[in-house]
Amino acid sequence: MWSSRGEHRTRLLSDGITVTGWRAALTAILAMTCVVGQAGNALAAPGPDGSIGGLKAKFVDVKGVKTRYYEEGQGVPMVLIHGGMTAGSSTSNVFSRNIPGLATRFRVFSVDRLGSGLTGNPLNDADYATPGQVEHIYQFIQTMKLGKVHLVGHSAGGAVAFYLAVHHPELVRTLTIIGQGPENPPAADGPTRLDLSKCPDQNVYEGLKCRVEKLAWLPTAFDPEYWEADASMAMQPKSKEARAKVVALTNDAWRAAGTAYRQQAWDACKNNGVLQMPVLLVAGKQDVLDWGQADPTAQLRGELGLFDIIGARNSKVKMLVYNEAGHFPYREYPAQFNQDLITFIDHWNRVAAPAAPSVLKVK
Amino acid sequence: MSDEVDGGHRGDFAAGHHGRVTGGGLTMSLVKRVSGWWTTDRDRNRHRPARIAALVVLSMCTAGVAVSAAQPPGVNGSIGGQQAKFIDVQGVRTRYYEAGQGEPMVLIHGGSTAGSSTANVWSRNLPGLAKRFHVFAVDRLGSGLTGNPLNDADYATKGQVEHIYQFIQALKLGKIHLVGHSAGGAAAFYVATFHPEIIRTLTIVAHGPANPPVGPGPNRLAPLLAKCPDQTVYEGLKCRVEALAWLPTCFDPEYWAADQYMAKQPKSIEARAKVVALTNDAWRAQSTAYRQSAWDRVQNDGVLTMPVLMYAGKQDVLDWSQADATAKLAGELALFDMIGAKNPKVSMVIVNEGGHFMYREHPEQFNADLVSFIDYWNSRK
Repeated sequence: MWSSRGEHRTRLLSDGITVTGWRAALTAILAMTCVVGQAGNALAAPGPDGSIGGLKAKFVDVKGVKTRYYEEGQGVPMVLIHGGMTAGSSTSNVFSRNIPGLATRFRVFSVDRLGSGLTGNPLNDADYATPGQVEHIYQFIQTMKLGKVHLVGHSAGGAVAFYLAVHHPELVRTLTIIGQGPENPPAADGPTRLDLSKCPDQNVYEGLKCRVEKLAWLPTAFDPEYWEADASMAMQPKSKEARAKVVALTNDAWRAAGTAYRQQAWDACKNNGVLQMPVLLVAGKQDVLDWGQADPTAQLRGELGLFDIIGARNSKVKMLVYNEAGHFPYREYPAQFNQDLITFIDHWNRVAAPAAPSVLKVK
Repeated sequence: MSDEVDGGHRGDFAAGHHGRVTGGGLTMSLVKRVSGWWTTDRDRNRHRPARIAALVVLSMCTAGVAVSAAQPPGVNGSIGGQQAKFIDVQGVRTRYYEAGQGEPMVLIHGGSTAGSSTANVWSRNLPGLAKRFHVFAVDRLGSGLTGNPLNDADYATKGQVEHIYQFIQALKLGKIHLVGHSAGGAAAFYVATFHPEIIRTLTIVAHGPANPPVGPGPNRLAPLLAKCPDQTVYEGLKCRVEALAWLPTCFDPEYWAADQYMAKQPKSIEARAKVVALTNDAWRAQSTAYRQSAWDRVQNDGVLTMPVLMYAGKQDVLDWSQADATAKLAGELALFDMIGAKNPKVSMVIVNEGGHFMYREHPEQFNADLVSFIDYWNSRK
């Protein structure tokens, strides 16, 4: 079983630490953290704006919604979109390890999605749905007057990035999608790898946090500073309200609208080829997000399925698969991810669009 | 007919049980099940008529202006403005290209012995890679203008591997970046497995470890090979190489002129005859045992700890006669699992609109990815 791989052998972590099993490593790290924590100076208490990693969050009004974001660096604008469900399982903080490196080359923005982190909740309940999320990112880019951007999205944020590129392709220089497959693949006969049985209910923050922890592969993916800021934002009244709203709003009609919106985007790719910008897909080989399927390969299948949907009419698609990486490969291997992303963008910058080896033109 | 090529009746693979004992088995079943997506969604039929038309046009152009457009093969089969050299490797005259400066990098071509591939296959990558590395691309034992094995036993994989190892020793290259394509990817894998101390990084292009299990899908290569001459003659091997390419731009007249010049040498004709004559059940069993010994070293002993890059073309049709349109990617992911079981430093790149020779089809992208991969791991030392 794949789920036992990490526990029964010695693995060399990217930073050269040899550990036996990730549970042992986690224990060691937690122990170290406690010791350091008692010293009283290792962990800065999260600021009121939830900033971590030495970064400083900012706020901007986006169509009446106070929106929290990070901005670092200079150059062509790049927008990072976090994953997770609305309000409580992920914020722009998830890119904290990538922003400094990417900022050496780009003007990087990482934004809390509508209702998430310290970004305000939707003014209309309908905007809790995906189109509202997409529109909020679009309006953020307009408000900041960014012009054409490199767009990077993770998981549910990868879906948001995908939809944004489909509906506003003129805004997107390159599209990078991490850990995102197009839908739940059909059930098979293998084991389910994402075991949430020990997690609290997914409607409360503790349940969402527990799920995020189980989606990481390396024990180094998250650290106490991350969790402290995460909890401080997720416990805000607005966040609790958002979670309650999402639960209350979700019904069959809501889901059907989501499915129709998704199908429309897929058709636009497959039939009309609306995505012609370079696309990079990034997958962690040990991503256990199997959507409750009895199938340990569900996530990679979904990611390859998205490759086919986009690649059907776009020759400029590439996929990267990292070993020993879970649902957060960009946090687990930030230097490698940053370099691969820059290499991808640099390549397509060199190969100017007219000279690109587009099959659609060659054939 | 086009349905035979790509299959419109993939149906539901999800219900099928594919014995998943190892990670490789898991991955094979993975790709098989995802195939329901990609053969229906990704419509190769759309490309194929245009692709064939382009090939026809290309062929007509080639024939029509053969004298001026198709350059005669350069000295010693050289193409791409480069000049092949020779060195004696344990008594075997060995042809190779050398370019650039920096850390040494050795490129190993694919194909069966003598006639379907040579070091020339890297002609579009050498100039770019030479800007950063001291690059060597070598004709394998019996291939191109490299001499034939002194002993018949060395026509087998083990002899191929030893020849590359001795080439590296003869040139005193020390630790190298090793890159192998297809059968040359296997050779690179074996060199790294049995001589890990000389490998800085290992890059395996378009190579999976074994024939994946038969699936319910269509076979993609067989209909293409049905139109080819016998695989024991050069024309058959050339036809197969053409079938394995995806973009019509993959090979050009200069390439084929040099390829044919080398493949028609008496030594090449002799090598092909030897391989045919030598191949029998005992020969195959020996090869299987050699492969298993390498897999055991990798899976049980974890001898491959260097950074490993795997590179795949999404449209590679080398399905090894499996009735399974996803066989190639399944094999490549299975090799990922095999190496990755004890090596965290494995990553894989899958490029769209890439066939079996994606490094020729997208040379700049391939070079950039390879350089980035090496740069990253150099920075982590």
